[in-house]
Amino acid sequence: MKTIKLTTLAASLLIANVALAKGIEVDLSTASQSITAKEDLTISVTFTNTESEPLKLLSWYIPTQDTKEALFKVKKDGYKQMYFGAHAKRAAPQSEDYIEIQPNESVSYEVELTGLYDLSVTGNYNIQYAVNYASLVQDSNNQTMKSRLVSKPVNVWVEGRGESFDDRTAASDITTQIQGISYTGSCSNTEKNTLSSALQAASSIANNSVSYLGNEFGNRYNARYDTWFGNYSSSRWNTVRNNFNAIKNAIDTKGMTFDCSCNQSYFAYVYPSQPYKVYFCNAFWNAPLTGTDSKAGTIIHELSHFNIVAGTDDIAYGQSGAKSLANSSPYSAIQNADSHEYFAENTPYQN
Amino acid sequence: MFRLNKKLNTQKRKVLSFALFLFISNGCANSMTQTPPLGCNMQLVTASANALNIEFTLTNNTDKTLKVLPWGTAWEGWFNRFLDVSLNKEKVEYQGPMMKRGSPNVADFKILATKASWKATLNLRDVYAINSGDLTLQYKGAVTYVENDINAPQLAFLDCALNIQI
Repeated sequence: MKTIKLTTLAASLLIANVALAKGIEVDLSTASQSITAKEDLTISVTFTNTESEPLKLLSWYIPTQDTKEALFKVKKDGYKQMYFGAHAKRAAPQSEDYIEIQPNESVSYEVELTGLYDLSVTGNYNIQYAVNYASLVQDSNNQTMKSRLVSKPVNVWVEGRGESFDDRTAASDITTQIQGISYTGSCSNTEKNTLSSALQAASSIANNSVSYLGNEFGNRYNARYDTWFGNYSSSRWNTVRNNFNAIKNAIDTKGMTFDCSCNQSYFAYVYPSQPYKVYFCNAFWNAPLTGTDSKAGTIIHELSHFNIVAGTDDIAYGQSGAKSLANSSPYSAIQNADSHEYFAENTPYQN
Repeated sequence: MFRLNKKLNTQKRKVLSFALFLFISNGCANSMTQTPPLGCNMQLVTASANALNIEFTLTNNTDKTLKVLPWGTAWEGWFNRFLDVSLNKEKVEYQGPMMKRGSPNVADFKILATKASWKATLNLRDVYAINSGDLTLQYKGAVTYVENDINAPQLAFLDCALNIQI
């Protein structure tokens, strides 16, 4: 009997030891316990090596800009919330896919979640880092030490934006005034708010352009038209007026899809054959809301590209390029996207 | 005095008409015989089920080194629409992206030495749905270039076309 007890004790000691050998621990923290619909939800994720030897962690499951996996379990009222981010299909990891963490060292990363998970409904969200992958943590001999890493959950109160996944899918069928924006490519709350203001501002300069072009007899020899579209002719005026009517119509009545996944240095891009999806890139986020090369103007520029709107091209770039085009070739200026943008932005102001 | 004046006037008139003649003949020479500053050429390289590779050549015909903006041209790749494409006389829509980039900086312009060329080979089937038939390509984009001052950009409307049976 005694022997058996001892054995049991030894076994339980052994189990306790294994349990202590956690390898890498992961902890979550948030700056605040609640966020409004205008704020982003940023979570800090800290990995700590609790061992006395260096350990390797597969970088695919570290939250960075380039993360292409669902790293978190996000629950509201016990229900798992939809993940909008990317899922990568990859070959087996190579040694360069691991980061090394020294004994007792911690490494921390921050990740924004409103762009990645469905946090659209007001409520208390339970967020946990939970990853399962065959060779997630390796020791220095490249032996798999752990295939599962789970943190304690954190709870955050989120004020919803009223755009659940169902609303997003339905958005393409809705034709409301301006509000019909769907977002793809992990737009954060901040980005969504920025895009919504940018579309409002674009609507306002599109309306202004339409009303200017509606007064052909009053404005045909005025500087604003002449600077960006060159010498007046009634047929060219007509083309420009039709283009702006179509841009205004698109803003007022078509559901836009705005995508935030682009990480390149451009302002934005579209596929002219795929209305009304616009991809926004780095330069856009740094641009002013209105004025030259602004967020509002960028939306005018991009909408003008769609074949069913105005089908414009990029012939000349920048204000000096567009002015020179208006001088040398008014016929080309009325087909140039930047000419439309600068006309709409009207900065500096001209009559 | 009167006679002298008349003579002068006649001379003036002669000078004027000679200048006018020079101006007109120069103008005609410019538009009719002078080669454009930037020349362009398109050539079929390979045609297969998935690839329809066209080589685009841009040549600096001037005696000066030019700084050329590759943005939106064939010599950058499929970032913009710079071709009119038709197959059996029907327009084929461009399926690629159009990038907006704001105003170019000095660093965005690339040196193209006098008489030098840039070559780029692009697969039309990356961005156009083309089966087979009588294919016509017309380069329609303009190329922005400067001699020195990037605030005084000049535009070269390239004139090149290609007609092939595929």
